[in-house]
Amino acid sequence: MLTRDAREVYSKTLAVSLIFFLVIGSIQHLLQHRIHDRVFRWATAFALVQIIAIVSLSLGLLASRAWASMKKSIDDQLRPAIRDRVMALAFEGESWSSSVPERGPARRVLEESVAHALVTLKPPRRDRIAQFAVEWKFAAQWTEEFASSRSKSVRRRAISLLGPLSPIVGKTALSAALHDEDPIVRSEASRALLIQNDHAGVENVFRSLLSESLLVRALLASELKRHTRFWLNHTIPVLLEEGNRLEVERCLEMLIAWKRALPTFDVLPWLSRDRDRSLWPLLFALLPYVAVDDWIEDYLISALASNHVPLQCEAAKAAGRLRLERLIPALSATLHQDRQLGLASATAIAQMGEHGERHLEKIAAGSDRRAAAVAMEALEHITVRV
Amino acid sequence: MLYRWLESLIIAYVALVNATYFVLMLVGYFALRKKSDAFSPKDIDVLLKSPFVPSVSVLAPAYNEAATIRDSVRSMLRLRHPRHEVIVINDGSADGTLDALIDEFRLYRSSRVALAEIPTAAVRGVYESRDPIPLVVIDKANGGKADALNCGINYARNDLLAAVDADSIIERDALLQISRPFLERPEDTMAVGGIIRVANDCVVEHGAVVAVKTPGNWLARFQIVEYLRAFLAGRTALSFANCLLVISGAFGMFRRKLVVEMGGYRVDTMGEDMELVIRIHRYCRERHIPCRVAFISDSVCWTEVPESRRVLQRQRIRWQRGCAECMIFHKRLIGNVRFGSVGLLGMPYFLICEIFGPFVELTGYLITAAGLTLQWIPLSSALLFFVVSVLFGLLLSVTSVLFEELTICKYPNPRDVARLLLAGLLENLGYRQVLLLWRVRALFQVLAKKQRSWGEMERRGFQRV
Repeated sequence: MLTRDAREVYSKTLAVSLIFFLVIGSIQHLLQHRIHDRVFRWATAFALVQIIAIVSLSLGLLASRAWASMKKSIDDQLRPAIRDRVMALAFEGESWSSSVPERGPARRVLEESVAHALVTLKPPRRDRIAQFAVEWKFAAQWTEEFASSRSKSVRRRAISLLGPLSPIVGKTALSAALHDEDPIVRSEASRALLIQNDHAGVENVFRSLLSESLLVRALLASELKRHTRFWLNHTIPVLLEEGNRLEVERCLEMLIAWKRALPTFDVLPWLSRDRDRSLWPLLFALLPYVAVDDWIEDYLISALASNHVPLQCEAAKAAGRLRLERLIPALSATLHQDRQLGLASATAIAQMGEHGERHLEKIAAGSDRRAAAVAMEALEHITVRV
Repeated sequence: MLYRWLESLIIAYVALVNATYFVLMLVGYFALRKKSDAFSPKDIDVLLKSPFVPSVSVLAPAYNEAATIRDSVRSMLRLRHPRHEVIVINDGSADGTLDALIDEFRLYRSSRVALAEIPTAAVRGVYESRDPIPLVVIDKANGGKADALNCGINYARNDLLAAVDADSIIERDALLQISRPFLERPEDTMAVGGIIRVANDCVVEHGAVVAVKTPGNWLARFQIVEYLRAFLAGRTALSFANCLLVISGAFGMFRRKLVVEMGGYRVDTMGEDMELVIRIHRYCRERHIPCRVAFISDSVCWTEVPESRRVLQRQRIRWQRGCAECMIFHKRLIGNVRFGSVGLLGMPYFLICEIFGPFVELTGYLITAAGLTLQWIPLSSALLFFVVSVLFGLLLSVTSVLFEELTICKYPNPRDVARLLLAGLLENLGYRQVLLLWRVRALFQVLAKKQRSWGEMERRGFQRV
């Protein structure tokens, strides 16, 4: 099945190819009476079309360059004065005495300066610029651009500028942008909604984020961190109980990424349910941030004894971070197994202070070469890095 | 009679190949317009703090690079990425490359364990820095580039592998930009290639290209146009149809787990970069693993291209041999429906245009010459066909320069654009024909099973501030 983009690209390619072929065909038809050899005639027509294409493309290229550089030089002349006036409006609250240009280079530079001020300044200076942008129809222009432009970069810019204006112009465009095809536009809209601090909006963003691509989650992870407490108390408990497995996994990944203490989060019910065993690696990765007791050791020992390397690795890392000395024998038993697991276990043992170090030294001097190698590396990281 | 038949065959072949290039150019153009924009500086700042960006091990094989290796490694360490390590593999250099690295980066002999076990030439030692910098240097016996990369893969620890040339300059944000498909579609993206740009005569400051200029040397100018055509039109189109078969050895990114499972690079070919990509497609499709190989035009790696005929000849022979060897290794894929767009489009494209192309084009020149001598064809016809072929080459070149304008637009001076357009015209009058002879020679070498040799790349060095 072709995607929408693919269908569009291939149909345009087909259309242009057909036009190209039709033009060549028409030209060769016109040449019918002048050139009698068929191959020769087609070749001549092809050559003529190519010449037209090359000349028009080259001239177009050079003309667009010249036009862009001319536009830039005009803008460069206007920019300092206009930008100073916009900054004066933002910092000193000076009113815009002269009329605002409706079109032309001055309007373009003013729009650019207002946009620059909106994304760089903080309230209350930004609020003055926002008011100005609404008053002089820049907000309407950006809303229109977002709604009608097919260019991702235009939509992206429009939505990033509409974000700071949303207290005045409303959230309609931002809510629509949450469903845009471009992930960056969606993340810009989510970010703008998160800044509003409105609980319903924030909850909505978090829930929709769990079905988002990794890119959007990566772009929003740190922005979401500010709302950890709200989510821990409201959204996450409901989601963990009712959400589907993918949502639960992504929710746990987000909690791990935030690296924040989660004193109220209880992992025991999850670990004790057999159907949630596939979540164990994520739950183990979460261990340093949640409150646990001695019971955790049994779960970690059971995980280390399993034959599932990713789970064993996470269990080893958790044991190291929690400095559970009683797990040293279980960790040692995995040193000669998979290299990655061996390394995770050796590093965990090394984290357990003097006792762990002594144990590793013995293994390093032992006859099991595989275990000795990972023990050496773990020991080296303590000595050299210190 | 035979002559007429051969002539018609060649005309049909030329029409087919030109139509293919034309379609690729159009698909490339529309695909470039559809592609996602590069990450903005604001996105980059956010991603640099994000824990969700996959970690990267940058693998840089080095052979006799003592003069430049310090700068190269410093530039690789400065790449902007939240979690990346640099692994330099000293492939048996005899010029003090290792000593230079030990002195510069305060290296100590480390006990780092290899996580994978791809067979390679003997490792003599692994070194890490006493300073808190993510640098690993592996000293090994000489085994060639593919062997060095395999050794680096064994010692890599991160999710993704970025294979780079130690003597190239990677733009500071290129590592993040090239990671984009892995973030957008982590479920099926297996490899991504970046764009290679020509750095001859560009001004380099602190390991970054600060001023882009067209080089004075015409050979280098021709190669700029060639690179633009190959990357912006060809690779964009092939990647759009998910049948991209080449990721340049100078800058590509792969999933470590997959590459390890597949046994790393193949060492018995001169086209190890192309072979790996074809094998990725093959491996995934045989196992019904979703697979996508992407190309990102915003992720730039600058490299110095040959300015002498001798070095260029060696490079092109190596490339052509590599391509032919890959076709032989993976002939089962050609036209095979089971391998989807790779079997039905990618492999046949390379076979028809890149492998048969030089033979047919050379035959075309020869029979035209014979036809003219024996007066079987009039001079006007021969001239017309030559003009058509030059014009078509020029059309492709002009379009590539236009693509450059539409995407990264690295040449700020309109004079440079005019020079590139001129180079696009002149490359069809001599340069292209010489390349053709080298390519045919390479194919004969493959048929004769001549021993492989990489040869030395003579570098002028970047123009520094």
